[in-house]
Amino acid sequence: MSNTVTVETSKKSLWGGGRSPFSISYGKLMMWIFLLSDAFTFSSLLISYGFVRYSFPKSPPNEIVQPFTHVEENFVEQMQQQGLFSSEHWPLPELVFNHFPFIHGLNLPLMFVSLMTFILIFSSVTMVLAVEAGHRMAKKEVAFYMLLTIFGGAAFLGCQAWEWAQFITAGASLEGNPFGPTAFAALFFIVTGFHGSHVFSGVILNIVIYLNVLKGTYDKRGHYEMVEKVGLYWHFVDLVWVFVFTFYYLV
Amino acid sequence: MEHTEHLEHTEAPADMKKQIWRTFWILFALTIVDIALYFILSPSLPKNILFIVLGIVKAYFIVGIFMHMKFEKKFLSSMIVLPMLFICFFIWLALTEADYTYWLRWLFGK
Amino acid sequence: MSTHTKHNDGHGHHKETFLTKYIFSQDHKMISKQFLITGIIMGTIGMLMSMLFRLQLAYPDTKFPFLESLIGQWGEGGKLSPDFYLALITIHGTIMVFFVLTAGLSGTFSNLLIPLQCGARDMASPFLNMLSYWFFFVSSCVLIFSLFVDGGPASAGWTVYPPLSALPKAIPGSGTGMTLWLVSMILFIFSALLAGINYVATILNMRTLGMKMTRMPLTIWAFMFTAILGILSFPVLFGGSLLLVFDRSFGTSFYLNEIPADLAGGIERVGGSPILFQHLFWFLGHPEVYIILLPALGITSEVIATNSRKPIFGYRSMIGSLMAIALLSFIVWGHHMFVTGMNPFLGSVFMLGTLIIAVPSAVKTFNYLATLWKGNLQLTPAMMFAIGLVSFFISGGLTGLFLGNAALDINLHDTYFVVAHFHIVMGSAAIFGMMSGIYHWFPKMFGRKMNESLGQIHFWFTIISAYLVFFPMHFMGLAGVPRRYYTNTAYEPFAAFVDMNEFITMAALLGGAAQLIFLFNFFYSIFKGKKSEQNPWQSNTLEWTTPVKHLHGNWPGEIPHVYRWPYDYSKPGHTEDFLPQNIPDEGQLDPLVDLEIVPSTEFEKK
Repeated sequence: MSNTVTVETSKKSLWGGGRSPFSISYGKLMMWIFLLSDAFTFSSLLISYGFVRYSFPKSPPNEIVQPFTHVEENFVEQMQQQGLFSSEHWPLPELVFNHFPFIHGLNLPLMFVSLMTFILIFSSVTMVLAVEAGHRMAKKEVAFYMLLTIFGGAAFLGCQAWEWAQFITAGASLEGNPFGPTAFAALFFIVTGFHGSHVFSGVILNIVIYLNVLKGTYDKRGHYEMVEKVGLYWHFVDLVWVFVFTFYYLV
Repeated sequence: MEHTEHLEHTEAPADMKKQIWRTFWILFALTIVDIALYFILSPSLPKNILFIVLGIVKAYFIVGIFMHMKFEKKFLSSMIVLPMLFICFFIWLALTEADYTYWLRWLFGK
Repeated sequence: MSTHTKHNDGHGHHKETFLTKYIFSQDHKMISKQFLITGIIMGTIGMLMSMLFRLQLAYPDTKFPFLESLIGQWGEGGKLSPDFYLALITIHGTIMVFFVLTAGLSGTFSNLLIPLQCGARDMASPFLNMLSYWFFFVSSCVLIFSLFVDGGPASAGWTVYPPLSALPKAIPGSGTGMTLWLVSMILFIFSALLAGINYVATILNMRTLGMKMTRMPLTIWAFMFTAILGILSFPVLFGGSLLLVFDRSFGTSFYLNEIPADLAGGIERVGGSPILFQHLFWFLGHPEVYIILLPALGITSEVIATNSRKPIFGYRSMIGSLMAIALLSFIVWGHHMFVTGMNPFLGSVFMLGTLIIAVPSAVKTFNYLATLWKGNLQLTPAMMFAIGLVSFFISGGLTGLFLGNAALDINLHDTYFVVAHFHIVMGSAAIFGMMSGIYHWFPKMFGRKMNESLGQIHFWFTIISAYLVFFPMHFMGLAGVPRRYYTNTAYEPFAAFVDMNEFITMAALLGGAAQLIFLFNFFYSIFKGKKSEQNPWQSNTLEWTTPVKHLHGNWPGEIPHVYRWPYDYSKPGHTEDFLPQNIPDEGQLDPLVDLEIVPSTEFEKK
């Protein structure tokens, strides 16, 4: 261990060269900058969503929806007849996302997507616990939490696949959409798909890191910084989901 | 083995584990508040603003605690956060533009 | 290759094969040469394209039999086809903006100078640096390949506005050529991001001891802002291109409205807006202008200070104006869209921001002139080109004030006035910065000097022909002649400009011929040029403290420490008129002690 670093470094010396002004390694700095640029990519997609949506008339108020508990076979047609689903305006999210796997016919608005959100937040927690264990060089704990994170990511991807399947079975595609304007479905597929591909690559990275932890690569290296870097990416994916959730399911 | 210096500062507070779990419960609660508000309030601009504010609060906890930003150097966090102002400008601009597009379509019958 | 073992005699301890040394090299100096030579080749292609369409504009009714043998079906009977004319201007723009002036300029000199001038052994991540070059290389190959596909290359202009770019049947070039354009651009974005992230991390994290931010040469400051601009703006183009790909190939309609089904692949397209694409494109597009220009400005600062043998005037205000230009560039993109049907209120917002850019630009110009003032001018070719840049920056910047004005822009938009403006302020100025950099750092790159007399001839022919080409265009634009038209004789009011077009084309051919001198000089000097000494321009910056023969890791021993800013030229009380950054003043403390800096092993491991 290096002991020389205990000298209190003044601001002047921080920027004086020969060291990192942020006291982080270049790898972590590069990851931060990459995440910044990736945030701009997601922003550009969400801004496009905002633009397209805002150029349409407002959604109908949800007071006019009659309360109901059961989702009939011809639910979409019913809604179209009532004028709640129309290509003229954006649909109400509670009417579009009201299914839950293995529970047929019940109206459970936004329940499934809440579950997905919890899964992703939880996998973020296990990730940060893995990072914390890495600081203590506790190899077994890191491996355990990494495994949980991988499971969380995989579960999220599975949920998203089910949600897509549900959406596609109802007739939504890039070219048409029974719920409302075509752009609603197309942007849903593109933004959640782009986010999903990030989750997917995150899971792959996590698996690689997990195997390396088991192999003891980072023990030999003397620090678990790689876990931290991938952790940053994983939390970023979680962060993006917060906004996707806000803009697609709530607003 | 000689350590690289980054380890010097990434030292988290001693009760990191506690803090992590506290953050988790905050995020959990905020998400439930989100869903509850969705059903309590009817769609309106203030409601949407409320959702966005809640989203930013959640983002603060994820970036601050989970991504460790709170414990990094101030300059680094401003370097990452401040460019988001450009995005804010872009959002304001895109919405103004979309509103204009809406009225143009209304005026010319699409 | 048979040379496989020949290069194995290596000076370092690590074994290098031909493949790892010249092709998949991770050494920043080799990567910068790769960027430069690819950039020069792409630049030559782009220039030849401009010659072809200039010929069409000057002699719309004459037949040139050689065209048929040169471009086949596109030049049937010796006449350039209108479709290929559109393709040529599109590809000329794309190549020049992205491949020459972004990758060729900032890629070359950022790679060469960031580690050398900051005092680092290499980039933060040499592997990603190599990857960045190869993404760029593949992306340029894809673009060149698109010249040969059925229907021709993309023809919607370098800004690829929908619907021309979104409907594959719109014009011949909207088919496969457009798809390849998008593929090429997405690869280019990856390259730019990998490179930019690397540059910023290197500049912030890997400076040598004593290299405070305020001791960095202005080149490094410029490269840093360039990289930041790229990191923040290229992702938005990626988002925009992604949606465009979906519009083209998967039946969505983000950018399309009111397009009947029979024109759009069987699906009626409603609900989108082409304005959305323009916003996404220009969110990149405007910072892109500064991605092109800032490195050239940085290089000029360095070259002018060195060759005036004077400290740069207003070092801090130079940094401040670079920063101001970089910030403002993100909030002014709408001035490209004043007449597209954008909300007029936003037009006034963008106009305000645009006109403010004149202030930092004027600060820079003033500082250049004040540095030259009463200097001991060494008129090397590099210096001549740097002064040329200042000249172009002034004359092109002034017309920018016209165009940034929303009311005037209604008259001037899409006329030759715009063509003249951006070719002078962004095209010629940046090319001159690049040339200045090549002449100045050629000894560092290849260990030899370029021929000085040929350099002077190259400079004078280039600057004269550039002004002769672009200056008359202002008047054509004021008279309302629109850009991108295949022929002007078909329109009565514009037929009178054929003479002027002929004159411009003559000047353009002269300028093209002048570049042959440069190409000869460049390639000849690589092998046969005069051997250069270690510090041929008596410059202060750290790159000249490295040996002429390239080493992996740049400095043979320890990396020099830095004791002063880089512009200590003609300092009173010293016999030499320059004081390199690594020379301490008498009694000056070592930065180790001076700044209480604790050395870290991390930076030494490369």
